Amino acid sequence: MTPEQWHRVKEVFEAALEREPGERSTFVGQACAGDELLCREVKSLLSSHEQESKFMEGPAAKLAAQSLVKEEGIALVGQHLGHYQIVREIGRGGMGVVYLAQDISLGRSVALKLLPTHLTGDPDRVRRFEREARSASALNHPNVCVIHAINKTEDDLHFIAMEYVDGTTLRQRLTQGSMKLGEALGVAVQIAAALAAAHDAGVVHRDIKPENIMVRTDGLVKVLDFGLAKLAEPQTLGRLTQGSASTEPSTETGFAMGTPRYMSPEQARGVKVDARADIWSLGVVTYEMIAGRPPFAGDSAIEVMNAILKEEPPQLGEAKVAPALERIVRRCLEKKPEMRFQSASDLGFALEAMSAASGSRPEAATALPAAPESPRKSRLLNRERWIWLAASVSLALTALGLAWAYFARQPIADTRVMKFSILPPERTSFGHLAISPDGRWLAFTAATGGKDQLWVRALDSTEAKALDGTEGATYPFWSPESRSIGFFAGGKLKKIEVSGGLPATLCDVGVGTGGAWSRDGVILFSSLGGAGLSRVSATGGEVTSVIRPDWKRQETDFTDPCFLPDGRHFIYSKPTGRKEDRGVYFGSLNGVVNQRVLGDESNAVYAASSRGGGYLLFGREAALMAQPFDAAHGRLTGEPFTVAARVGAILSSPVPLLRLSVSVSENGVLVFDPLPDRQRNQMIWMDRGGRKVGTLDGMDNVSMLRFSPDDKRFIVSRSDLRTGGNDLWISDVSGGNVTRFTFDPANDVYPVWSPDGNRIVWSSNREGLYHLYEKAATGSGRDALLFKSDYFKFPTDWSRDGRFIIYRQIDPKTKYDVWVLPVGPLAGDQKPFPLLQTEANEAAAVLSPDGQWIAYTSDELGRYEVFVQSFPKGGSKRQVSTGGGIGPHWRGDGKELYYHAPDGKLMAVAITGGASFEAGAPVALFEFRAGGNLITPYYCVTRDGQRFLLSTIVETQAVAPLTVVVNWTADLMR
Amino acid sequence: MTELLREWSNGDRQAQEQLFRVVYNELHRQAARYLRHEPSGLTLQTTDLIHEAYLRLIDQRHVEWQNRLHFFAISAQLMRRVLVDHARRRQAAKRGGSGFRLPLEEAMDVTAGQDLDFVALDEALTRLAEIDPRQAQVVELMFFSGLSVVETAKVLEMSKRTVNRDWQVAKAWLRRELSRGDGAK
Repeated sequence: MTPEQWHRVKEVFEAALEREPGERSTFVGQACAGDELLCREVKSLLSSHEQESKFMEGPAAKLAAQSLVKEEGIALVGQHLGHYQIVREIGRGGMGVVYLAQDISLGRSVALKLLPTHLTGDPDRVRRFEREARSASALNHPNVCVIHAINKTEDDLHFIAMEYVDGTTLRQRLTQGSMKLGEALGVAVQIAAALAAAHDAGVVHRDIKPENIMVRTDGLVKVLDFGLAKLAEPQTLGRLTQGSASTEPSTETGFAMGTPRYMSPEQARGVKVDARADIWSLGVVTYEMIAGRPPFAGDSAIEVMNAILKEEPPQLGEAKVAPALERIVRRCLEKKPEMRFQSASDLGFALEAMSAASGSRPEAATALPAAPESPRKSRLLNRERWIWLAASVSLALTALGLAWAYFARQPIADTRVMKFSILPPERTSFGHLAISPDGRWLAFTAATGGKDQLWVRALDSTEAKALDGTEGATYPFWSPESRSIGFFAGGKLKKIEVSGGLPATLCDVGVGTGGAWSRDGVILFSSLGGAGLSRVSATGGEVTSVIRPDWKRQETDFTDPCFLPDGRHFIYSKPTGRKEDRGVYFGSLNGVVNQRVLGDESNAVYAASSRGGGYLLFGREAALMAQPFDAAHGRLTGEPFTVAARVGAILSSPVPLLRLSVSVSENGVLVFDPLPDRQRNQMIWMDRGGRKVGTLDGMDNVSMLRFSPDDKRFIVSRSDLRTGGNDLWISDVSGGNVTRFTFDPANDVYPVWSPDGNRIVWSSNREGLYHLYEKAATGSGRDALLFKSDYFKFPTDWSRDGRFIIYRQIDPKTKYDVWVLPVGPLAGDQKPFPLLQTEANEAAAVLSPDGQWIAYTSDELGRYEVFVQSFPKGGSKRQVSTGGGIGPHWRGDGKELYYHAPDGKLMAVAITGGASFEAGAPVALFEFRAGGNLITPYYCVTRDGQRFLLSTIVETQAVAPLTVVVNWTADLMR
Repeated sequence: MTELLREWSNGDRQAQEQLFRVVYNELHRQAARYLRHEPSGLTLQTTDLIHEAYLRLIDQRHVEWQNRLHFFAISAQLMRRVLVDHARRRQAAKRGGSGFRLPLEEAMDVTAGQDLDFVALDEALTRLAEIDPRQAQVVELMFFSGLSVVETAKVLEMSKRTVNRDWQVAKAWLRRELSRGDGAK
């Protein structure tokens, strides 16, 4: 609508308001005089105006405050009930409001359920409810929600403090869509296990329904509200049993409140009920999980009850449900209790057999060696445990048991230190790792073949699962509530829910080297290429710089940001730069604070102590160290001490650095790699068929390989793992005659040979920025500055005719670009010129042997692909790789082009045509795990295309475990 | 005025965050106070609230108010942002869901109130401002700043009658927009 039209609408509307409501319609019709649109708009506004409503009545703040009061139970939030402090409301229903609360005395989270006062008026009923609730809770069964306390406040407000279960109700799960058969059976089996235990103890639940079943994120099921149905029985019944405390609890009638959908026929009739009523209800729940709809439906409670009493449920399933399963569910739904399963353990047994037959496994948790079990209840559990014992591979169950004991009641008041090991998934090894803030989940990268992927594993489970869509993931980090994982892949920052689903892309990063996620929804990350530390909202959006490297101090890149508890300050590492500047720094999001706290050349993590304060954990020599740290002021406050004598590191690309493999949760779970030399960088020779034809020992931690033009020698950049400093080395291809080529303490990287093999040009930051230097390949003479500019630049090739050096330049606006530097006698005063400069990244550019074409990798399509275009004038651009590609190399005759695909495969593409460029379909030669990243040359190929020299990462141990320490600070206090 | 706001939001995000938090905490505090002591009627004054929040920050920030309109306009915009931001976070929390929600008995659900959807209102108000900026300002002052018709008229140097009429039609329009739901966009 234009302002003019609106003006007209307003006029007519206001005029209409001055008339009696009855006359308005006619008036509008006349006033609009055939302007249909105007007429309709005014009438719609009038009808909106005339509705009786409190719309926008009272100031906004008042409305907001009212909804705060209503929605958040604001009166209670922040207040204390006994030694519980209410944090927030987490649910409400007919049986009361539930809050998340902190148990101040034990320092743990609990769920507090406030019972509605109309239900707590009768002390006798409250007592009976208490008795049942306590006896169910006393079972200490993993599938029964633990009740810590049943209490009341001074003003007679009754509340139950129970185990806080981080998960969703089965109702929520059901509304999210259909459940897989295996999942449904897994849940049903666990409910049956809980009921079996409770029934054995003489407790009938009476109100089994999806709202009372919690499914934890790891799949463990908890049945809530045992005994609560007692409270809601009709008043008269309470009176009847008054004074007869010995009344069998299992013979009360069970008139249910709320929805009758899960009510047994005997409950609907209001007659006596026993354990078999729960079996009915579980039958209804199971039916609904499998079929996606309840067996008995109706528009009103009466209709539903009628169906329960008289109707047979419709056929459970389309053909896919096994007849045996249909029979099990129908047997639960027999109208007469004596026709049903007679015990929950029988039912559980039958369901579990179905579950095994369906090829799914029941969720792990029921089967873990748990708390003491009553001898009878667990034919089921024992059998499951058996299966699991047989299935568990090489994992110490005792360790698991400890883990379970810890995590099931976590956080525990007991402060013993517990240690156990966990193994990587089969045929993989641990890469970067991050434990969730709540200490329950371990996220890690692991490579299978050449492909890194993100995995998660609940620490109380034996299974790790790979998250789809996370190929190439590096540096995972957790959201503060332990639900999502941030990571880097394909030049982007992404996040994924721990439960899976598709990752969401947050922003472009280039090459990320670490991230952290604050409680305020800020993600802080480090990336290569001089960007330093940047921040972005956890929902994506604009990236802003927080701290940039100071080139004048030879700072290039920062790594490993880690938020401190206030979410505004953080620590990070400066791995490079001058020795007096290296170390761990304390910074703030507003960029005001930036001071060094530790001189060690290691990344560090902050670990809060349960007794207040915290520590920095970092590596020194081969040991894992801790030092008391005041996170508010960024000061070390005590002496360092050794946490573990040996700690491992991950070789991080592109410049191998000592990236300590350590992660710690907010509640004192420490995970680290106990093997200092688990990963090694190694140079190997491969032939075209993928056969390893040799290794070059003694040349490790190298990248940026280049053969000399005659294929007799190669030059590499070799890292000092601890300082991150790089120097160039030259070796014979046999691995003999190794000589050091550069000696400056700054970084010397990205060497290229002159076409005659006599000179080397490379990049060094010895004068702050990365400039180009030159020296004779024999190593004689001085390092001579060749070219200086205001940008980072790294040579990638030197044309055969000697006239051009190709280099990658990093521009804050256009990111990685490819530039050409004219050199040699003909160059005169020709200036360098950009060859590829777009918003996308262009890198790793190499010229074809005849100098007609240039191959490079670019992420213009969303991920890095290899392209070829004409040189130097551009044009005739072709995409060569399919499905991603980096690191192009030409064969000596220009008839073949190689690249590395994201799945770790080295691909070959046949090149035909002369003046026109024709590329064949890529063919995989072999697979390897790169010892470098997207833009660093980590392999090279002989001129004949027959042999490849690769810088790879190898594991020194076939199966290397991680160490998990629960309550790692507990020992420090003794 | 808008420039100043822009400065606040762009130039110094931290200050803005801080201000939001103060206003929001104040809102919470007053709501709690209301519940404990004044169950019969809410006497929460928006301008007081904003004023209080400002007083805590103004000294540090050296903000000079050019005139009353300036102050109230900024207050209103701030209040709008705080409330919308808050509503958005709540919506996100509900969708994403942290923690768990317990039995929501169909029969006994008490949470399904008729709360105003601040996020939708904000969007509608932005659309209104495009076709009639003055009217949008009337809404901001009356609704978000909590001024009376008389006060609004004074601040905007308009007649009471005009303010009243603007308010009526704007309300009718906003309400219609909100009741259309997502389909209207």
